[in-house]
Amino acid sequence: MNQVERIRISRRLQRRTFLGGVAFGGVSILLAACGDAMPTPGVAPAGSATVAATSMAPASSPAMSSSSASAGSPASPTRAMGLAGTPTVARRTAAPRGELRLALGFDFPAKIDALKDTHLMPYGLLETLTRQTPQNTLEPWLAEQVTRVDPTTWRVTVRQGAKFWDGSAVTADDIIAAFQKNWAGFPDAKGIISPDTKMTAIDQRTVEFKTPAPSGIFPYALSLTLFGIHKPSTPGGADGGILTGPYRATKLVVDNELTLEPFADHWGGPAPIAKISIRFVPDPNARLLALQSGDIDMLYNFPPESLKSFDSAVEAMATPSGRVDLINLNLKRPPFNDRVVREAFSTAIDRAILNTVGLDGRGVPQYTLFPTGVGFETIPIQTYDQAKAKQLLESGGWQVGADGVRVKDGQRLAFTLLSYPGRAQLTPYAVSIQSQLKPVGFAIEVKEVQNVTEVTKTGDWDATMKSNNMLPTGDPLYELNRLLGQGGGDNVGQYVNLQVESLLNDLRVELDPAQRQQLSLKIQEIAKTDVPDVFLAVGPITTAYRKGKVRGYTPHPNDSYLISTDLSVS
Amino acid sequence: MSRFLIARLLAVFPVLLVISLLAFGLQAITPGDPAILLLQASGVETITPEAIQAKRAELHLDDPLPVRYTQWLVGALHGDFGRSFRSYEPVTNLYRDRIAATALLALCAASLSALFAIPLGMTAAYWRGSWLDALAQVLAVIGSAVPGFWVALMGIYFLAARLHWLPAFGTLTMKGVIMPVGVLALANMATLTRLTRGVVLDVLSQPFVRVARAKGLSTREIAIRHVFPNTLGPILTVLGLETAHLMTGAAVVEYVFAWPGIGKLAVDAALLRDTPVIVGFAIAAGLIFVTLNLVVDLAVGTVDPRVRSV
Repeated sequence: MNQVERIRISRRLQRRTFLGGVAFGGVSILLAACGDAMPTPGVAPAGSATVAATSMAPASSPAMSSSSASAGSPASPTRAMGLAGTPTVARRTAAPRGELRLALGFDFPAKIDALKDTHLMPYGLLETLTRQTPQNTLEPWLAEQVTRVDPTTWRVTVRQGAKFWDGSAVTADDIIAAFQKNWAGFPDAKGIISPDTKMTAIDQRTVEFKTPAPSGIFPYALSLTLFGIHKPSTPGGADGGILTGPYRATKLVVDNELTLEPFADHWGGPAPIAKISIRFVPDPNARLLALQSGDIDMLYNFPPESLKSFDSAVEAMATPSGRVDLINLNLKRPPFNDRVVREAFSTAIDRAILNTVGLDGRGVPQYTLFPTGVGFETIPIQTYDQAKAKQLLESGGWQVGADGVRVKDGQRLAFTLLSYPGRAQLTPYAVSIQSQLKPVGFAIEVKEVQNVTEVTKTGDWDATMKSNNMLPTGDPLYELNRLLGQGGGDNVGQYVNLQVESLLNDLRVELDPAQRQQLSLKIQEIAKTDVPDVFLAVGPITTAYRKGKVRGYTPHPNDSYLISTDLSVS
Repeated sequence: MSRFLIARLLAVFPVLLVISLLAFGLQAITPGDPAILLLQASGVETITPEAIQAKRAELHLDDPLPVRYTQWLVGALHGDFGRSFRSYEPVTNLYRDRIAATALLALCAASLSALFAIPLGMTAAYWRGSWLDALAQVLAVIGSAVPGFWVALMGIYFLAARLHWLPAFGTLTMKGVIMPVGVLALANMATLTRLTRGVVLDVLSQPFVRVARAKGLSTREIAIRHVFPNTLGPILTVLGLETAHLMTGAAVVEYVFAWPGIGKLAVDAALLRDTPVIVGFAIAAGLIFVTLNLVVDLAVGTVDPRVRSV
């Protein structure tokens, strides 16, 4: 371990973070120079002292990259190691107190079993080895540190004192067993970290992962709920019912009620709230009224137009999320097998209007693949210009017919746009798009179906509204692969571009975060030309809570972290 | 009487068998893949063909329908109605945990509606054409015309959010049942008021009432001794059926008030194609209807000797 260095991974693009990173690096170097082990928690990918310092710099932060490079220069491997140190976690000692009452309308767990239900992390029940911070950086969670030994070898050390709810310590063998069950239980997980990864317990708390090929997404993938840490409720059992989260469930009535209590032996100390009562109230109006009546203390993810309806006793906010509303296009049949039609379609949509009709103006019109300002390098790949859209269609041979609908070779520019009721904003978007594109020469039929996934599986569709969480891992590969990669789970339109495939392969094995971002940008450039999907808007995360009662709430763009140990009640 | 009871109870089994067969069959021919719906419900963001196949294998969805039904039937005969595809809970536990809440809601709503509707209907009939009759009819029309979810939301708005008198959602407490029971009773009350009025008018036109009047009995005496007992038969029959409907079809009110009842459980299961829970609901609903019909028959037989003799 003397020949490895540990550098905190971060992915902030913002200028503030850049400056913060420079400051952090400077202070770190100073402390390291003094021979002081800096107690900084961090995922610490480590490579050889000579090359890895630069290559393992934070994914998208030039600041962190430069500071890391300085810290990890060949001349100072020991200092670099001192930079990582063992994170010191201030253990909570105060006794839990108070009750938090929450109402939610979806994503309610049906079973406290990490292998059967992936809704456990938002409730403080399930922990992963790493996690994303509200600032969208990566940090260790159940892991104390994650280090890269060589391009294909990673070592993960579990936190000192980490325990399962049954009181047993979380060991390296438990981590290995959990990963094996996760691969078996979630076929998707196999595409993120290869199930051929060799896992070895180095000591009681350290697991060595030897991936078949270099894997740049590895530390980010550890933050996915699919790689949560659990053990069976009975020895040798097939479930994942015993978890490590700061709260544990005392009562679960499916689709009605979930009650949580603090896990006293949590590695961070007992969680601050003595009791959390979560009611599943599917009707959004009933949830709002319950907050106004004082029957609950906090609401999460309600319709943005309701933000105006709260009185001064309620703190209500809409914050940026990582969820992007978009349109998947079926590239295998007309009219969207014509690239010109795809570009014209995208160019003719005014996203600002969609933001108004669907999100009450609380979202962000989206012209990029990834949401902006969340740590991903992203470029505008789509625009709004109806005149240009008309020109494109004209040049592509689509002439306006007698009924105002364009025609080419006898084929009308007509298609069905699918929507579904699960996301309330999508059908208003679809209706608005139908109206906006009529003057351009499109004839759109809007059709709401219960489940678009089932329809797209049949291949008998033209275009469909969709809402995707673009930040599940905090790394661009995951979303680029599933949206644009051949056979990707969300590539329902069957987009195939060999150049994109090649770049995705490069991205899979690339370890240098800066290079990863460059590869991501190259893929986005191709998507700009090919227009396989149309990006519309980023929806907000809406939260409301009673002032003076709820404390420590920090909005998180990823909705996997609703109940944290920072949350308390007065 | 005992032979009657035994015959009725034995008739339950073929009824339940047919219900279960229908429920299974209808589930099988409904378009859509339960595996996809269940994966979505469990929070899986990217649903791959491999994940769908694994889920189908786990739930034995690729087995032929007769095989699945036979396996279910064998289990059911041993008291095992299977496990929910979604929560993996035994179906019997899911219904056992909710039936009390549903029964409380339905029985309270039925009692409340009977308490108000029967006197109101009788009053309307006795003073037919008066302002009381008009008022009763208007209330009945409003009660049946206004959607339950709207009344529920208005109730929550005024009684919970504005006045803070009652909790905003249903709880198994005195205060917590008032709004759900009130909303359910309102619609039921409308039906029962109109029925009572019609039945009483019918009885009032019978010759024995004219004879009673000719004998010089007071209106009160005629109402209590002659009219009321003769109206109980149809009223009890309808009340029994309405109670059964309340126990199985209160999903909308359960939805708005987040009430832990079997109606909402069944609707959620239907949306997710959770076959064991849906078939369990069909069985539970069948049992509820058969049981309540039996109770009604016994009650009607008690109050009307003519039925007993038949």
